[in-house]
Amino acid sequence: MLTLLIYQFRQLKKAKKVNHKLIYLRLGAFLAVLLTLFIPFIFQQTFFPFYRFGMFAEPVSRDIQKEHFAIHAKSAQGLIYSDISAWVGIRKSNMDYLLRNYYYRHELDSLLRRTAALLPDSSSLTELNVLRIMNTDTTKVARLEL
Amino acid sequence: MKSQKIISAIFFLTPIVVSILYLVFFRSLVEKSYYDQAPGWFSEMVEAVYPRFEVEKERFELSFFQNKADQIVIRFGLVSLFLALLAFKNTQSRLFSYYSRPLSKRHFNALYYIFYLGLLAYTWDWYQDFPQLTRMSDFYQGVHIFRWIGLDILNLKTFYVLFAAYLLSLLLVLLKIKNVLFSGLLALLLVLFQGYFFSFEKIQHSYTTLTYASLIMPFLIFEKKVQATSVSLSFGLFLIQLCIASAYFLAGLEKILVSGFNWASAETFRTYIQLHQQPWGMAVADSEFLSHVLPWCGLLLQLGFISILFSKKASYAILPLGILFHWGTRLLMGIGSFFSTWIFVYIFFLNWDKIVLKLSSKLSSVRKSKNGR
Repeated sequence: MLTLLIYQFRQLKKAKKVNHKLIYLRLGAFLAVLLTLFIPFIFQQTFFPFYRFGMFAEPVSRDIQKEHFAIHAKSAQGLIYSDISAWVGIRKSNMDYLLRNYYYRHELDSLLRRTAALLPDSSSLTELNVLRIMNTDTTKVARLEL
Repeated sequence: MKSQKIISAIFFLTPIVVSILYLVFFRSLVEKSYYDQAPGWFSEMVEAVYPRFEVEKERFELSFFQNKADQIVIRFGLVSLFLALLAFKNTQSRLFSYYSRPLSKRHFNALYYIFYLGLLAYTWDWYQDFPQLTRMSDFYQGVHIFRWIGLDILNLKTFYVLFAAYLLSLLLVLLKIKNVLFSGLLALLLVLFQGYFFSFEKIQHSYTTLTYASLIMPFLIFEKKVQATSVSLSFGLFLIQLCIASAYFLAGLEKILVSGFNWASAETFRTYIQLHQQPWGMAVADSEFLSHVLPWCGLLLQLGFISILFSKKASYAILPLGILFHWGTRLLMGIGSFFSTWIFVYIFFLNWDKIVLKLSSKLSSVRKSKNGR
């Protein structure tokens, strides 16, 4: 890419009757676009804002790809709440990613403490549980008493 | 011409050398990295560019990552071969003159106002999300570039001040006051806000093509300014079109490179549908015919979208199919929206010269008929 750029600049120097400013700009922009578009998908988060597009490219062939996590809350009255996103102000879609990443980083206890700190004082919740759900298996993987 | 061929040869030979180096030295490092036995410099490099590796290796087996590493080399080879072909076939002037799009003043003005008014419509309410961001500050990770430059989560007041600067820039751009400068600032602020939205371990692709377009728009405006004639050729417009078309094309290509044509099987399609549990999706999954046909339609559209760059006629089919594709994804999987920004950016493929002329002639005929009464 750099070689092409140097080559193009040399060509431009030879030509006299061109708008150099404009051509340099076009050239730079073109190379930037090419560079950013071909970033492999695993680096989709690495070169923000130059995303990569490969949504759903991987066929779901492993059970682990169907795994998901959920926080369930228990109230003093024994009621179970399966979605506490409205109370803590974190979108469910965001929470799903946080749960999975914290689980694999072995930091679920810390996630639960941080989540509990976001609960309003008026909530009568007594317990937060993180569930790992894969196919028909559900496992409780973390618990915090409030 | 001679040096052009030398450059082309360099680009042709580079992927061969890189592939040999990869197979001899680097492929084994992927395995070592998976088992935490890689040399420090390699582990640090992986940590820097692919921090999700630590989480993902708990979920997937070694072959998954070896396949991904192979993909990087294959992709690099494809880009290099593409550049070799480009260098062989074109001089820079030929490249620009061939791909630049005619852009009259009327066309430019219509596109300019529609784009920036659209940007306003899509982003005016982002300030409502700032309290949530500051509330979630304990979960803040920072996207890569933020971590590298040490950008921490901002306090609410700073978010509001920056958003006011964003809206002011947008207003100045719409008033065409120092519009190259302010469109650039606007694009940077747009990227900054999205950076914060995506700093909580999840990114979204909803605004991708809109962001690319806003990053290139300052180039397009500058280009128009330095060209005095009323009808001129715009390379900036081509770059925006290239970004949009490539986003689709690469999404399709990624599927082929990762999964082969097996991706379009009814079984894979049904699994995705079942993961999202949308009522329309579940109904479609019951149909044997649709489960076989729809994934092929989606894949062919993504791969074929790039043809819009080379044929005007293709846009008559591709754009409506693109709209159906996004609406279909919304209905069947609940992803995106009916007013998706991906659909909005199709404005860059429309001939606004013709549209404005037709609209104004219709308006004048309506006025005449009213006056006649």
